Amino acid sequence: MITVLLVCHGLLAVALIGAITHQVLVLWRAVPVPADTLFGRVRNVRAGVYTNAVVILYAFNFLVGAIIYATYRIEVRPYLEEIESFLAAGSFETKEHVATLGLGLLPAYWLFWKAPSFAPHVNERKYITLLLAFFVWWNFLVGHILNNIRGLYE
Amino acid sequence: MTSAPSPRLISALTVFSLVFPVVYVILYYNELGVFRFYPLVGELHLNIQPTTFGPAMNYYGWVLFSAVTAVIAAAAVPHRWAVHLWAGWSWLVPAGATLFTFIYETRWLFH
Repeated sequence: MITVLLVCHGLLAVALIGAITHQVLVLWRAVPVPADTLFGRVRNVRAGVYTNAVVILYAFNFLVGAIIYATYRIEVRPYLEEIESFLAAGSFETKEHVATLGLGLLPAYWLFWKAPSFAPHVNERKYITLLLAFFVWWNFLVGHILNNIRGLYE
Repeated sequence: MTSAPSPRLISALTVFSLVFPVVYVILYYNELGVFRFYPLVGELHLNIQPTTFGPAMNYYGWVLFSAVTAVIAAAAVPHRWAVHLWAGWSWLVPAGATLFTFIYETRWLFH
């Protein structure tokens, strides 16, 4: 069951990365770019349409992660401490905190994309989306490395 | 979502996003246990249990308490106050909490 949840956690994270990265690339382009290349098309999406998907994916993935966390605490963390991989254990601590901070950020993120009265706040929308994207990428990379740490160490 | 959110909802969501990270950071920095989950035995307890119960997890209590506190604050702060909040706090406060978290967790490097 935990393995199934872990795979779901990873798949949801990939979908989340795709959606939020689209938004970041659209927001941070200096000038409109032609959609005649792959990268150009990536940066020419209607970024706003991803907002609800990001919120739902993030919240759902947080829930899945919270369920898995208990197993990590009794099966993985003792192993990390046993092999004295405190960098890995500490990285997971940051993942846990960053994931939670992202959860608290979701209402503001949603507002800056969806509330018409927030439309003029272009810079705030940029920073808040970049921050959430950093959370998503950080958690994905840390989680991915920790998931493979036995293989990496052996 | 086709209709625009109401001004009251906008105020509430803004306050929630400002209060949540502050409360969460205070809780985890001080390791304040609201309740503890013992994953080895699958039990929740308000008090610290013997070591035979395995490791204790404060995390779920921190998340729940932060969320509840933020919801209460969001409901309690009047709309006329919330509208005066500078929009930049919405990302600066979580960014500050994140920076603090990364600095704080460098403690793992000094084991």
